[in-house]
Amino acid sequence: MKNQQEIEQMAEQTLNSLNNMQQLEANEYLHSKILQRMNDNRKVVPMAYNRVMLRLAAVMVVFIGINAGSFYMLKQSDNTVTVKKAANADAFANAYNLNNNVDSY
Amino acid sequence: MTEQELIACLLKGDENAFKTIVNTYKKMVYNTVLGFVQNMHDAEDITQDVFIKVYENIGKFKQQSKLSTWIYRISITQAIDFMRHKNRKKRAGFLSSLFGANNELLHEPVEFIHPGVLAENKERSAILFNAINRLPEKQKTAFMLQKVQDMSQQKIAEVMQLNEGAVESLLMRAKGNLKKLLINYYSSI
Repeated sequence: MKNQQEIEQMAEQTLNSLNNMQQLEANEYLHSKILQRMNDNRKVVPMAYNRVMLRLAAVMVVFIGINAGSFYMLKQSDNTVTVKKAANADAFANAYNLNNNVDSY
Repeated sequence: MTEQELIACLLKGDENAFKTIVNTYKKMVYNTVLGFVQNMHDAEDITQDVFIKVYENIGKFKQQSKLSTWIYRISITQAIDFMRHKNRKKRAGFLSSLFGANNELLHEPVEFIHPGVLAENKERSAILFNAINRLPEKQKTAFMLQKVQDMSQQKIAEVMQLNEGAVESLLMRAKGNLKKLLINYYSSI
């Protein structure tokens, strides 16, 4: 069992253990490695860009498809309503003899 | 070539200017980063990232400080970001291990022995590095810059964009906290 003074002394020595530390040399070929990595990054970026553009294009195609489909369906229902309206108008005209030209001047 | 000329050449995309910057500051960057990440392979990767950032962002450098100060800041930011990412991965690994995934490698305690430490201090320095990792980020940064880079309080203040008083207080707290951690450690063994 260590006494408090010994413990404090060990802590102090540990705290000073980085004193007079030597600096390490960096990689001799660091510059070449960086250039290589920059070139690799340049190749990777267009591929990533193409992937993003492809996804955006797919989203646009789906969006245009939904819009075109909606437009077509709405137009069809519009035609049905117009035909129905015309039929109702004819029925109304027949019921009240509005189609006769007898009274027209 | 003066620093301004070097920066002007780099802004024009001069490869030789970039090579000069890499060769001038690589030791400084590598040792700063190594102190934070405590792994030589990771430190080399991050050193490369730092110089790529320097090359890409030299246009944003306003020259209100020395180039070395700006490069120090980038190095510290990159190293801290890397450690945050690594710690997040560790936490995620721990959570997934609770559900049965096999992530032993992620949880292995790492003991870092800095090759530049004097032979008689190697064991103690490994204990100290473990304790340093438990410090809050700012205290860790100030302490590492003082111990690993042998920086003055004034230079630390410049790099950390704080006043000297704040740096002095950070260093005092860092040393106090480290001493507490080390006393606890030695009491428990």
